[in-house]
Amino acid sequence: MPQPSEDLVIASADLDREMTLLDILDHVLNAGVVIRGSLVISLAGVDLVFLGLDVVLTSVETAFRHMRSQIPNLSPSGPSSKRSPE
Amino acid sequence: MAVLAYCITETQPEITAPTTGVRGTAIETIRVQDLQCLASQFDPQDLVGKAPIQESALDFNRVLQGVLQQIAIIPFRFPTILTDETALSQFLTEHQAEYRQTLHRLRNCVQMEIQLKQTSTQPPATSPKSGAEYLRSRQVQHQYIDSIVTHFRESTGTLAKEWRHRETSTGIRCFALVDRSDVQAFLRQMKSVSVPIESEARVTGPWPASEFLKEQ
Repeated sequence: MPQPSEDLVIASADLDREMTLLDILDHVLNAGVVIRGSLVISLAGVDLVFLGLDVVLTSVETAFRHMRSQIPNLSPSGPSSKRSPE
Repeated sequence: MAVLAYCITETQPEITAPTTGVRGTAIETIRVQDLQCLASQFDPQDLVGKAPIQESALDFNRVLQGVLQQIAIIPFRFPTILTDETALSQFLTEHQAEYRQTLHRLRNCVQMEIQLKQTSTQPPATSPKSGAEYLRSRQVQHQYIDSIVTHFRESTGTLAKEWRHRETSTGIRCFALVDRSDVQAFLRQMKSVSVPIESEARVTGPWPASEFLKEQ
């Protein structure tokens, strides 16, 4: 049987080699159904929180207020926000 | 109370859904005809802060993987939070035809992923001096990428029912739609693939078939 290349890493639960936190975060944060109008809130360049605007869970201002109170060094203007790519 | 949506599945065959979800919340099932959505009551304030988000994302993935082991799923991106169960039920009702068709198409399938990254330490080539030169360099780059993607795709033989790829800032990501009964064979096959010089390949999966939700 051919030996795997050293430059080839296979990370799969099926091979008892666990996927990294990065693999998992990448998939759950970046893959899947996005509800139309969702907003991505970014902190330090990392997209963290999606809020469904269509279903009006909470206003963006409320979200920013929560984040400001929890994260002292957050810029006064709040985290950058952008439309989520479909 | 707000609800966090995990994924959509068909109601048949019946599955054993995980009992707890993100931050220990109880998993509930919201049914619309022959489709169901897994969700849990959720306070969005629980997500504030880096550590809770990481832990919650891992919990979320655990739920998805627990269901994916049994049946095809359409995952929601984390965190998708709706006002209440009624909003989620309405969303599912509005999109049920599309999701029914997608789940039927993806039945018994999972997604395997190959991330290809160049490891060359050579300095970048000098900037193109003209538009034509730039277009030529892009063409060469595309040909190189196409050759690598073709190499990996051909290496999987007939195990990949569908194949997609896209360029990213760090390299190329290839996605193979694989029958769940072929996952082990796919992984064995990948072990024998030669990786191009000055490149690294990382194979992960099985994942929900997120890249194949829309037909090409």
